[in-house]
Amino acid sequence: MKIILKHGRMAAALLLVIGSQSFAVTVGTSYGDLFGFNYSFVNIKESSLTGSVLGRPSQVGDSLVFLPNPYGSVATGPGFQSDFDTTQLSFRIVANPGKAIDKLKITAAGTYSVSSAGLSSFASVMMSMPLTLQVMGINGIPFSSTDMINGYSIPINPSSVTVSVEGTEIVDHGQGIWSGTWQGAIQGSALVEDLSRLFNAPTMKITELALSITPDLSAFSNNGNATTSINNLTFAPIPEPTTGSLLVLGALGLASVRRFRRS
Amino acid sequence: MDVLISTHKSLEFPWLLFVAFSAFLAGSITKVEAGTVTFSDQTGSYFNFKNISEYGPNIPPSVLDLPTLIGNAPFDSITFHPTTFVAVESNLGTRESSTLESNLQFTLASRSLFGIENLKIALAGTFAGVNMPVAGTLVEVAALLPIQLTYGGASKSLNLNIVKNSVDKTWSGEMMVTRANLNSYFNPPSMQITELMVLVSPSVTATAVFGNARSQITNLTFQAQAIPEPSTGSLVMAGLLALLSIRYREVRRWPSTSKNKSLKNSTLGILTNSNSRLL
Repeated sequence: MKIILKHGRMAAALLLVIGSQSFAVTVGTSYGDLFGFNYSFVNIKESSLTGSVLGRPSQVGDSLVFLPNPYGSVATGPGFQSDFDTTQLSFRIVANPGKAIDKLKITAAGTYSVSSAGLSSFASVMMSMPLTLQVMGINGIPFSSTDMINGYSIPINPSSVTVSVEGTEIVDHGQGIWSGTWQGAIQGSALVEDLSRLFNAPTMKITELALSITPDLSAFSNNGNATTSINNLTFAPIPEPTTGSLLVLGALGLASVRRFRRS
Repeated sequence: MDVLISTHKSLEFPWLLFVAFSAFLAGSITKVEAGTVTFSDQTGSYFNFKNISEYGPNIPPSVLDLPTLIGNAPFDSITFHPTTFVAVESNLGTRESSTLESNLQFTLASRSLFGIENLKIALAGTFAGVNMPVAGTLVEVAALLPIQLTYGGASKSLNLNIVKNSVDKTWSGEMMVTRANLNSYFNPPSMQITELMVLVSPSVTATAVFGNARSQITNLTFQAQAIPEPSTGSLVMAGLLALLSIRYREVRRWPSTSKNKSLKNSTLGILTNSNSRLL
């Protein structure tokens, strides 16, 4: 009996020690390539501690769409609770011959819910989505310079929500359940300025772009409930207006001027 | 031994000893597991990136991932876009830290007729740091890139200054090592260095107490710029000087006859024209 006890404890100790020595290993998932009419998404990879959390993407027109089912953080239960979820998504956007990446629209959407009750209780969720971009091709020619590597963070609204109760006084947003939708976007003309700012070259035609984005979701609670999740992540490169569409726009402008003068 | 484990107190002692021994053993195992990943050579128009290898306690598999070669005159570069170069820590109560490190080594060798004009090293990444809304919370993230350049048995250690952008939550750093820098570091016998060993040791650390932390490297790029070797230029100059001296001698051998004078003029004319064209 003593021997069994001795060996059992030793085995448990060994397992404990080996377990404590192991480091967090990220698991990579490859989603291959997707080819569109104007753009191709090449070498799409995701890496997280738990494998694929964003799920296999689909191509809708020239957009790359992830519909996670859902991906997020949960902190609920008695006492202090914490959850942190992060994943890295990387791929290259390659413009097909004759096309360029004029704008890049990134949209993210998800939900959150925070509630707390009782003395010193709180519930908190935080979301961030930093990314790095590297220009890999200009005017169809591979670009080798390190000058065009830059970082950005998608503005998420709201980026954090906290409810807490201190004694009987309501602090912050107060006690109760909050729910809503948070979303962040880089879009339209803002992106043109952003790309110009990022790479300080407004006139160049980017034809290949390496992108790495890391959605981070955190949930904390103390005798409360906090959840947050992403349910949509979309990347849409946008080509520059073609000569034809510019001519049409010009003609429409002239027509409106003529009409205005007649009236 | 049986006597020792017969009481509760005496049982704890060997048990703790065993834990300590196992910890040592596990540490040794981790070190034994350290390995090397070798990448194939990358051959550009101006440079060869040779003997590319990655090693460290967490290797294999590679955490930097496969390099991509891009050439654009007069540059050649290799870029890594790692997807698993990340340290994550999520913690309640106790201070804990997680670190991931790697070592990347390669030889930058210029192709014939070229030397190294400069070497640019750039790093980018992202991080997250979220504090729990309680007292005693602490979140720290770090990214480091020590660099060692070796030429002719001599080494120079450098450190990339990595800037933390707390608004965008990104890392970025860039360093250019110029030909003048290389000459001052190594004082090479020839005018230009044509082969350089590069060792970088990127690492990321995330520390948290009542919080969440992540630190990650997403881009690592080495860009080399080529310049024609001085020997090529000096050979051309020496050849020109030799031609000039031959012409000069020929002119001096037949002085002041009208025929020779015209020959002299025409020769000098040709020489001047050819010089202006050549220059």
